[in-house]
Order: sequence, then structure tokens, then C-alpha cells
Amino acid sequence: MQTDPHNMSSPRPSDNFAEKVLERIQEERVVPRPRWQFFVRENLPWVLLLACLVIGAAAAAAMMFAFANAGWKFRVLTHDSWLSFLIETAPFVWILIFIAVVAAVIENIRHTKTGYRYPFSTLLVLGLLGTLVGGALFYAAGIGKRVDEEIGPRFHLVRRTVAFQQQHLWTNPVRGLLAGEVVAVEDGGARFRLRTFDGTEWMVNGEDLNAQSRAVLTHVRFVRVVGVPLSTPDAGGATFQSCFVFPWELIEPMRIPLPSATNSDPLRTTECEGVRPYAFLKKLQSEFRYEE
Amino acid sequence: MPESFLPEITDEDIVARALEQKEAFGELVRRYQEKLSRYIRRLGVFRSEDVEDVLQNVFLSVYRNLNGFDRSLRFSSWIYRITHNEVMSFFRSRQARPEGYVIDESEERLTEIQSSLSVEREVEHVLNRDLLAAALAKLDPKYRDILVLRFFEEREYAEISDILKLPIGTVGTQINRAKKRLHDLLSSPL
Repeated sequence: MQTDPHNMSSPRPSDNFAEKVLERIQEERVVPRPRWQFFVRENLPWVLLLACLVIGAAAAAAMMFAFANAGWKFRVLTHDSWLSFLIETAPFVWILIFIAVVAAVIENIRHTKTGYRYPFSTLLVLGLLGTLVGGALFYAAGIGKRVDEEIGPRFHLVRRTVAFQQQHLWTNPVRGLLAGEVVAVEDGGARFRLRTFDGTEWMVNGEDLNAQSRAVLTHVRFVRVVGVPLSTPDAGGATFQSCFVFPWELIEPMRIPLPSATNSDPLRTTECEGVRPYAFLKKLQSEFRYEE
Repeated sequence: MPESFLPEITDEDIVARALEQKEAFGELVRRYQEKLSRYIRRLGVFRSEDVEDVLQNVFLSVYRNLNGFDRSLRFSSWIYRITHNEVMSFFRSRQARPEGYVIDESEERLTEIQSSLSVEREVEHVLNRDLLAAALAKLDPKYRDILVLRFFEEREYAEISDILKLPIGTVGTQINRAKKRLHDLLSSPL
């Protein structure tokens, strides 16, 4: 037997122990806590869980909206590599919020009455599934866009809305990218004025535009223009040679009527010959729906 | 062991009765006082005054929380959980660690434990109380607590899961790890 360093007496509680406990209950006026307290304690994790699921689903919906509208189609034009594209367009704030909420969901499930019985892997799958399914439903209901536009600007030090981000990417004349509102169109698109999202008004030459681009120009209010800068506001002018015009909206391209007698693929001017990758831009143009 | 006045009634029924009649609670105390007293000592509380204090607090806590008893659990699992938590609170309040381990099992029981722990063949030493106590003292508390429940208190995995609030799979994994650590400790000079 191990030496007892504390001079222990018998391990058994005293014979009248039960009476002592009852006396103490009497003296200290101990009473069983009311049922409602346990009801609240048992159900609070479920309430918090539900709240976390709603917040997580909103973050997931905003994340999905940001990914869906990151401009994948134009990646080759806006970025030199996948890495730079992902770094610039990934919705880090929503991803962080999503991860934090999934962690909170897991913690809340663990604190339910029988939550401790499930292994971490099961809780992780449940947490991810719950928030992602909720997120998909929210996204389908258009909540992702609203969250991004209404709550996103509050995190403006880190990242602004998807719309702001895309506008910023496409206000890059040095890279040959402009986007904004078509203010006026002359000669069926041979010249037009474009007010970019930063407020600058550009005089754009559209002589090189093919039928599809001209159709977009005359029927769509907000457009993306790929071309070559002729002079920039820094140099005292704002003129641009346009080579391709696409609708600004990405998700649901509208049906754009084609003019009946137009050159479908004019010869390119010297400026537009330098616009790359030409095959990609042609293919991209064919993805939008046009009507004869 | 104190004589039970209501041997044919289940613990769960006594809980229901104790909510209406405080005296019925005495029966639960009589049923569990010795088992829990041993369990408290096995978790490392040495002094008999401390054991009794912790035990009294356990029963007061049980009484206070009678309405929260979850009938999907066995009462014994629930009261063991409260006891485990109370002992941990005791150590926290004293800013103390378990004071050591006392193995007061009979030789026969010790042999059974040795067999259950699968250490009888590999270990050169004859397993005696001192060696086992010293090895337990060196074990990580999470492994020690789970071994105490499994091999000294003879609780099933599902009960240990409910007492320590761990998934059953984790209970199995931790018991295996604990046995391996204990085996290593018993195989090396202590």
C-alpha cells in the first residue's frame, strides 16, 4: 500500500452521512432549481445555433455571390495569373466570417444536450452542410447580393462590394479595359461617349467594332470595352480605340438584337491588331446571345 | 455499506420521488455515498475530510439540479458526471493537482485490473499497488480519469461517454492510448 502522506483515516463517509446531507439541505434551505431554468439552459444552444446558421448562411450566400461575380469569364483580360486573380477577387471577409460562424455552429451543437456524443468530423460536416445549404438557398433568393451590397461596405478597409471591385478592375485604360455607361452613340457606333464608373467621360472610336459589339453598344446601357488607349486623362485627353464591347451584366446576358446590314467582322485597324488574345475575345463574344 | 430502504425502486424513480419529498433523497445518498467516495479518492483527493466535503457538495449539487436530470441518461452516469466536475472544481479552487494515487483494491481485484489493462505478460514487475499508483500519478489526467472509470469503476464506454462528455469513439481511442502509456510507464523503471 502506498505510504499515506496525509494521515488518512477511513475512506468511507461517516455512517450518518445521508442524514448530514439532508440536514445541510435543510439548514442551507437548498431547493431544486425550477424546471424552466433547465429548459432555458438546454434550449439556449439551439437558439444560438439557429442564429449562427442564419448568419453563416448569409455569409455563405455573399461568398457565393462574390465568387459567381468575380469575373471568371474575363480573367485572361484582367489578370496575368490565376493567383493574382484569386488574391484580388476572393471574398476574404466573407470567408473569414463563414469560418468563424461554422466554428460557432460546431461549438453550439456540442453544447446541446447530446452534442458531445458526436465526433468532431461529424460536427464539422454538419456545420458546413447547414451553413452551405442555407447559403445556397439565400443566394438563390438574392440575399447574397443584398448582404454584399449593404453589409460589405462596412468592411471597406478590407474590401468593398463585388460591384465596386469589378468596376475598379475595369477602370484600367492602361490595360485596355474600360467600363461604364454609354452616354451617346454616333454613326451607329462608329463613335460613342462612355462615362466610366470613376466619373471620367471618354471619347471612344468604334470603327473597328463588329456587328455584335455595335449591337451591344446601341442596346445596353452599361458596357465593358476592350481596346487601346489613345490618350489618357493624365496626358490631358480621354480617347480610346474600342475593339470589343460586352454587356456589363454577367449573370443573365440579355437577348441583343443584331442590326440587319452590318459588317460582322471588319478588318482590324493597326490599334486593334495589338489586342490579345483575339481568339479568346471572339469566343467570349459568341457566348452572349444575339438575335438576327 | 449503508442499508438501502427502497432496494426495489430504481434511481430514476427515487429522483421523481425526491422532488416531492426531500427525505427520499436520503436513499440516493445511501446508494451512492460509498461508490462516489471511492471514485473521489481514485481521482486523487486524499484527505478524508476533503473527500467528505466534496461528496457533500456533490449531493447538494445533485439535489439542486434534480429537475435537470435527463432521463435519457442513466442516473449513475449523471451523478458520476457531477462528481467528476465537483472534483475538478475542488482542485481548481485549491489551485492544486491530485495529491497522488491510492490503490486500495484487493489482491484479487488488482489481478483482474492487471489482466484488463493487458499488462500482465509484458510487464516484468509483478504489478503491485505502489507501482500502479506511481504509474497512474505520472499519467496525463485525461488518460488517468478514463482508466479509473473503465477499470476501477468498471463503467461501459457509453457511460464513460456520458460522464466525461466525449464521443464514444474518442473514449475507445483514449482508453487504448492510456493503456499503452500506462504499459510504457510500468515497463520502464519508475
